[in-house]
Amino acid sequence: MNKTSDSFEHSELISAYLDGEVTEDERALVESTPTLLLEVEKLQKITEVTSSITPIDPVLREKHLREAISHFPNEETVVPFRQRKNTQRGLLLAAVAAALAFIVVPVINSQDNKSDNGEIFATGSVENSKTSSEAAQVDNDQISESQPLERSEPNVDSQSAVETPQDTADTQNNGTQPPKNSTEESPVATDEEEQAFAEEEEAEAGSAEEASEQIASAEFSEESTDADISLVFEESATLDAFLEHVASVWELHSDLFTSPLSNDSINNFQNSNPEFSVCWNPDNLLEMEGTTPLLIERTIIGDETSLVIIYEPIEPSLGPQISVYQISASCTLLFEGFIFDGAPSD
Amino acid sequence: MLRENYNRIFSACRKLAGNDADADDATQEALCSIVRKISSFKGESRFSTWAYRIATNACLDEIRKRNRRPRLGFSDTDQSQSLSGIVSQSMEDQISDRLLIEEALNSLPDDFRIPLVLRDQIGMNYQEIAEVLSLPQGTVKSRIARGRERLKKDIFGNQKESQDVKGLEHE
Repeated sequence: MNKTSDSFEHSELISAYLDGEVTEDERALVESTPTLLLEVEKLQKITEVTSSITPIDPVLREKHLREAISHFPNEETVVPFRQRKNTQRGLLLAAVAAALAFIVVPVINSQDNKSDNGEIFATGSVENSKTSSEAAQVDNDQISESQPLERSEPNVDSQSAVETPQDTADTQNNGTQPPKNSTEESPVATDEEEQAFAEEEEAEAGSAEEASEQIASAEFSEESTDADISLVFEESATLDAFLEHVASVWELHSDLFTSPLSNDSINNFQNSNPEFSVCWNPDNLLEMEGTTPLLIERTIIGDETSLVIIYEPIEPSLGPQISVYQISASCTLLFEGFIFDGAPSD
Repeated sequence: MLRENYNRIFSACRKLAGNDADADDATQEALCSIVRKISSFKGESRFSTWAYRIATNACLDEIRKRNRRPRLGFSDTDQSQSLSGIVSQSMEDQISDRLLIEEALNSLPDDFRIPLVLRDQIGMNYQEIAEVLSLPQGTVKSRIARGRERLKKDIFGNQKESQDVKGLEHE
């Protein structure tokens, strides 16, 4: 082995020794050879610098961080929906489902009984008095399980709304339905029938849920015409001008800002405005914490495409909130505040 | 977390890039890559380890882009010779002068500097460096050693013949 190759081998050995990438034998060799230890010492001085942190320019650091943060997915900050929205929607659905269960289903069932199994269900109305009552309890349980937020939330409205179907059931049972003991006399009230009836009611409740969402959409479209929407979201030269305009529209057309947006409305907006995808993760849109969105629209403010979301008031006295995001390189929050008195504030 | 790890990321990108202008772009791209890929961080390793790996790859991509562009200025050999001439005047002063060492590091060819920076700045072991650079582990070991040897020669004014560049040709 010549001198040059020895030198390379020693360089690699010393370097690997510094990095802790040597075998025990190699380590022993280095530590027992004074010339190698001298070389190690020299390399250590260099390594102290090569492993040290380069001095940082604070201005450059802030520029880098600011730019990087602008690339964050905005789901946590841009559309802060609150779970209260889901709670309110759930309460509405529960009330509608319960009402339908006690008003519509017995009528339908009674008609079916007459036409299909007249003999067996001759006492159907009597039988239903029991099954409706018990199924109502089942229904309430089902709604509560499918809407755990209503039960877990220590919210007065929530509690009262959950109790409403039960109260309704009690009223109906006590007022219009025959006493329960008359049902017990019926020989046809079997477990299978009760189960079938409960399943039917469950299906009805699902339909009621869909219906309630359609109702919500219908209410919104009835109360706010396209002309009204365009009145609010016409192009504005500045943010101030836009906010003033929204405030003035609020005074004249407050019905624009009262109905919660349906899932369909939000999904439609997302689908028809893909450029706003930087503002949220669509999968998580409805899971975000914040207030209930009443209105979501696009507009042009100062030649920039912008996203406007109006939320329900946290407190009635504060009025609706408005958030305006500008869709340029990223989703920048331009404004967030209240419009109740026409003088939004940050 | 970005802020906490910024200094190390910038420092690594600066040393990987070898100059301020490319370091600026490389650091920015590294940070943006971390942000874009944050959802893929599963918490199975320390955030800093994960972030440095992302940053390293982003910086290396920037360096590769740079290397595809036409380059102006002195060659590495010219800078190295100039540096050797300066540092031969006073060894102790030169050792204490970190700027001089950084200059020497910057003057190293990418093939030497990059594995050396990944080792000294990021703290990767030879196997990790080999994975990142798609090189055999033995080559990584060799290049780090040769990079250090060349730095030592530049800093200490060692006039012994260096076979580093020739050695690369044999790899």
